[in-house]
Amino acid sequence: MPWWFSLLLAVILFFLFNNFVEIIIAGLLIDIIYGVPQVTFLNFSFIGGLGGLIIYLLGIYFKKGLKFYH
Amino acid sequence: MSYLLDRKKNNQKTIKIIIILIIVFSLSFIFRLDVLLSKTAHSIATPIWQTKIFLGEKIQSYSFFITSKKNLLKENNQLKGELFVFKGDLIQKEALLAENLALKEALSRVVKKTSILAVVLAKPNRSPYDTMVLDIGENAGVIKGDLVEAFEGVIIGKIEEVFSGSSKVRLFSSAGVKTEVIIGEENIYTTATGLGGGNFTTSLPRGVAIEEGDYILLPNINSQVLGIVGKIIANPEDSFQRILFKLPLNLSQLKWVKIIKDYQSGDTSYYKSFNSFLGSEILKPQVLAFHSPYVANKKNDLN
Repeated sequence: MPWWFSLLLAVILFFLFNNFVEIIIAGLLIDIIYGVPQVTFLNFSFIGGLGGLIIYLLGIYFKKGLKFYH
Repeated sequence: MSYLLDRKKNNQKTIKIIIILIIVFSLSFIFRLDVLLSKTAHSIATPIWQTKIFLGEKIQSYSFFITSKKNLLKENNQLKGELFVFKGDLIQKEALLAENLALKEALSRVVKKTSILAVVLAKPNRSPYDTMVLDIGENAGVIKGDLVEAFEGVIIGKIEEVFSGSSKVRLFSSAGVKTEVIIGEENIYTTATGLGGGNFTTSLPRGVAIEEGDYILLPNINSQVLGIVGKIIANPEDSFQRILFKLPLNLSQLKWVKIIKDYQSGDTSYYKSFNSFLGSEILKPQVLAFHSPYVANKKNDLN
């Protein structure tokens, strides 16, 4: 399964569940298993975890703004 | 009211989790916890990957039950044709290689290498980082910095992290990774930057003659192929041309790779002086031999 499919699935699940913290954990797992320090991110290793956290925070903001969600 | 209280509690819980995660990120960045966590995760994941590969191969071996005879025959004939072409190429390659080595030996440049075969457990399309996971690590004597070869003469990356029974490879094509390369018939030295997915980019003055299909080599006595020029972007208002090239193979089709462990060279003064000239880490010499079907096809296309 390519990585973008996991990302798409995570975003869908994020809107299905109320408090989907697992998106951050999934990002961290990808970092731990496949990740290496990234040259473009000052050798930071947890890009997936950080990405998950950003998606989580943005998702909360979007969920609050959506009339039909709640 | 209770609904609002529940939401408030939920928000507090979320904030707590986020704070904990930020602390974990910061600590891991400072103390390199990722290596420790990777070690644990790999010891769990490696048997799962190995089982998956084993089952995949088993299922594939029984797939002929659902394939028609006509298709099998067609495929068989096609493969026979390809094999015939490659055999011809291989004979020529072996003759040239023998001649090349004999010439080097005559000039006191004996080059030998030892390598270990490794199974690719996770390919780059699985991760967004352009990395690979191999099934051998400290148990086979793999160390950080060892070069990884896909086919003879095609180097794709370096070992980045080593665990007891697995290792991670950072591909030269990973985003932002810089590699010294030689381009074109004029042997221009330049730095290529990885773009991810087996792609690279570099810039050269517009006057430099480069053509699509040119080989990109690593600076080495045994020219190792890093890529093939795919596209040249040259704007009349820009004094530089942008060269896009990619690895001469499909990374998602790789099953095995070779980890180059050791090389012996009769005289390494060239590399020492070259290293000091560049002031950076330079690749070690290997024996070159084309064995990539893609490269062979490309050669035929060019001819």
